[in-house]
Amino acid sequence: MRRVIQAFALGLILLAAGCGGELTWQTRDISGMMPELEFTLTSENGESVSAQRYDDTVNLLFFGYTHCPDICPITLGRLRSVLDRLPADVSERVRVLFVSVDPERDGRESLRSYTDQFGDKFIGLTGSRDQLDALTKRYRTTYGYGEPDEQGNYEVSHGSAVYAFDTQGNARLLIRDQDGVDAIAADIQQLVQG
Amino acid sequence: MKNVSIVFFFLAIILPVHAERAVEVQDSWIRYIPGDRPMAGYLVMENGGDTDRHLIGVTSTAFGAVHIHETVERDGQMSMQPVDSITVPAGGRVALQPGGYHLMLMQLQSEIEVGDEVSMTLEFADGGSQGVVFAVKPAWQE
Repeated sequence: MRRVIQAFALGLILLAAGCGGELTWQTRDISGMMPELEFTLTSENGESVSAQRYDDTVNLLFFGYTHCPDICPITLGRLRSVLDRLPADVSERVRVLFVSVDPERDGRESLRSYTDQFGDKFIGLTGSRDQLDALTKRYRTTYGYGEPDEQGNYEVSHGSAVYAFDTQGNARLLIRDQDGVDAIAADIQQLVQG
Repeated sequence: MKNVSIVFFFLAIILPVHAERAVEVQDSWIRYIPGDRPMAGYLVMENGGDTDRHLIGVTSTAFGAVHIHETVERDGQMSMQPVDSITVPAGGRVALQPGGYHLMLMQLQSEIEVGDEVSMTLEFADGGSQGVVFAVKPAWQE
């Protein structure tokens, strides 16, 4: 009888191992639906960088601008909560790439002082309109500018989603506003450890 | 002296009838953003009175301009829109909170930091106004 139970237990373990390739996700699985991470942009340190520069971590990509007082800090704040919730050995393998689609106002100083509010895992990037167009088009999103007021202030519209890429640069998850911190944290942990 | 007492007596009777009951404000805070960039202000307003109150503006010596805004999502695109007024219905409440209605605080007049308190004045369509103190919180505050 004991042998039967052992065989049964072994079977369960093998079955579980066999299912390893079919992980379930709480945020939206976009594996194979979007191209791998690729860009040429300027970092908040003023250097020209490509996606390969960040290929040692899972990367969370978000488009916004630093004159954005509400939704951008909310999204970045939520990602900060996610990182805080992860064990240190997991969170150290995650970066947040905040791409400003407002290069006119977002020089490196501006970007850095904004991303510094959220922590050192938050990297500010921007680029020329051509570079930004290429990247936003690649992830099927867009951005635009409103009419400037008398002081020259203008609104910028931008995508609301966060794209998660694994360490091979494959697009894996689409994180949206309605996804809670626990769900995102569980998925990111799975992505890092997967 | 007697006349003065009579005046006060009548004022005490008349004032509560004519003065609008103050809107009760809770959870008023500012999301700190460094540099000369707009910050967002949030608050919850509760109207215990019998008439609707319409918030039409906010002033503060701390900011050169304050606009009422709403964050809107359309087809996965985020943007902000100016709002002329926000109605706090009689017996109801309205929240200016992250991701929705908020105050767009521009032209910071002098440095502020997390932990500070900033005074602002809410202006209502009926001519009423009231002061509110906002706590300055970090950019990542949820």
